[in-house]
Amino acid sequence: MVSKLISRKKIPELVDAMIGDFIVVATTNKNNVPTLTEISSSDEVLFDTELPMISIKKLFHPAKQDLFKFNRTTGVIKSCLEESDIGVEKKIVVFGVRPCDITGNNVLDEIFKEYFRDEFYNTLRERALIIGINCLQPCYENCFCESMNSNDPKSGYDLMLTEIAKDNFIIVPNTDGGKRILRLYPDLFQEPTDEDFEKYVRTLELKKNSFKKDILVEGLPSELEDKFESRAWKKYTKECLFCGSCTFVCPTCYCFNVKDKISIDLKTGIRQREWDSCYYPEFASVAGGHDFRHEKERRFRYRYLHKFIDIPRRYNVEGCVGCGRCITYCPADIDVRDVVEDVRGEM
Amino acid sequence: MSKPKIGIVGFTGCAGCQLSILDLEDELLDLLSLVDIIDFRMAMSGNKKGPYDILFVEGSIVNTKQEEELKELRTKAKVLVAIGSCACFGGVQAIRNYRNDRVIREAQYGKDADKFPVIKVKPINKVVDVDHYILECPVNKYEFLDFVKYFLIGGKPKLPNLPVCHQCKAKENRCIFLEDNIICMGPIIQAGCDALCPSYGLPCDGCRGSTLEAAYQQQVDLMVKKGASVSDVTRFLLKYNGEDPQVKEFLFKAWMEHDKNLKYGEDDKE
Ligand code: SF4
Ligand code: SF4
Ligand code: SF4
Ligand code: SF4
Repeated sequence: MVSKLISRKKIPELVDAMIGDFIVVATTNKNNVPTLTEISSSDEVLFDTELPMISIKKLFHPAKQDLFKFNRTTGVIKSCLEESDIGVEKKIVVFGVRPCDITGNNVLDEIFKEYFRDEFYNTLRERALIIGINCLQPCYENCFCESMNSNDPKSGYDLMLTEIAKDNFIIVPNTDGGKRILRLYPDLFQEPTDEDFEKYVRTLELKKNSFKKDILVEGLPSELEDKFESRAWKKYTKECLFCGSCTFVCPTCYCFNVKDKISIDLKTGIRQREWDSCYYPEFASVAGGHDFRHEKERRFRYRYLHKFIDIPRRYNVEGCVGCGRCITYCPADIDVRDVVEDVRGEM
Repeated sequence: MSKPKIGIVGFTGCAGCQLSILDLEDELLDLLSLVDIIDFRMAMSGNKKGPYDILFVEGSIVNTKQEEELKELRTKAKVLVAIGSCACFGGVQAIRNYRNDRVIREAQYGKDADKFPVIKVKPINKVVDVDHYILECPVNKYEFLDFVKYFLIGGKPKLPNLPVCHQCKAKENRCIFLEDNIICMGPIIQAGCDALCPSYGLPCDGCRGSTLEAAYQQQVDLMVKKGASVSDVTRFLLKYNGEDPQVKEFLFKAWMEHDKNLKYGEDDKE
């Protein structure tokens, strides 16, 4: 059988063993907030912790990225992807990713891989192996993954850990890369018995009953479309600071802006991209100076329309995974669930 | 094209902006190969009073003599750029505009207070036309350099028009406003400093001035909700931006309601 059993005690050993063979990224307490960072020992890892502030998206779509170098006089450009050693370096293992974040990253995969192939994203993405950790109940009060059908991803990860009995985990591979990891460290795993598999099935069934739905997404896109002029948008627009924090912490927000930096020789330079937010004033302005969403209210509303109408319609996946980060990190205490419900409730 | 002639002058301020420019150690020699610095009293002798292709002005205007001097300089400069909080928004000394300046002057000069007539502290755009603003206290030396580079290739860098939170989140800082109830102006202040203060666990005091659409009312309501008093908040807002029109408008409204003793100062003569 390909699945294995691992005890809680052995998990740090697994992490340390992987550090020898891979670049291992896990949630740590860097900067006093849960942060995904490259680690050099399992001691740094926060096991059983809340979600990292920024999801795994930052590993494949970093906050700031060099795209290419250019020369204004010769017109020569050189991609930073070719120059970097991203492709040849060791594989990255991301340890302990929650199901909602795997689902969230599947949305980005869809957008950057399938719809419009972005070489920068894909080169980084293909280098990563993801070890998920199953949630058996909502991880905190802001989580609403069940509403967004995001806590049981079928793809987007290589291994998944599920605690089937106290301090005992079953580790199930989902890809060849996952199987390879299991084969690398045979001493750390045991063979699961039939009884263990029964426990696994029972655990997954119990899991289903531990989550409840906060909002119903069936029919939400057309309902929101009908409520385009709802007064609720105005109410929340007045509370919002337009700081953009919600978009940066969102695992499915991917917008970026592109800028050139000129060197002091005035000839060469570098083009970079940087996360941007639809909550910012010039986000929707185009060449010639027209701004499609100048008014704050339109900008406030747009994020919801994109998450709850455009992404589901265009890609056939939910645009929000219910991770609750935008609620946790909003200085103005705006709750995405309340906004959706208030808009819906408006006549 | 011959090398553009540049001047860097200072009015009332701490001279920190000029010092920041000198602090461009790695780039200074390259810079000198691109431009002729003809007037930079802080750094050199043999200064010429124009004409300038670009004149960088530090500091705010606090008396009528300075007003005349600045107007005169404007006639000699093709492009005039305000650098730093004082020149852009009044700076720390603009706090005086909201206090009794006679008391302040007497504390400093005693009986001689009358020998130093002042006017309300003015950012330089209250006196002359300003072509561009380079923010921060002291001025961001890299943005200064960018301006020179863009000027030389025939453009002008864009102000970010994003809040400090943008870079703060990108750097994955702990949000001290949210988590530690420390009042932080990040959400309404112009980005560009790479969220310098919050990256060291300190609140953003707003030295880069407000974003174009800063939500002052919401921000202040939240700061008060987090336990700050209205006077804490006003002091905080006043620190650098006393003459920022958005701050002024907001403070007037807030004071009208909360504290009738506070008032906007008077000029000796105008
Ligand atoms: S919209 Fe909010 S709850 Fe939904 S995925 Fe984004 S951060 Fe998570
Ligand atoms: S985090 Fe909150 S205050 Fe900031 S832009 Fe988002 S909804 Fe508005
Ligand atoms: S610490 Fe300040 S600048 Fe940083 S995210 Fe929080 S409010 Fe914004
Ligand atoms: S964080 Fe705020 S106070 Fe600090 S340098 Fe930046 S703008 Fe100025």
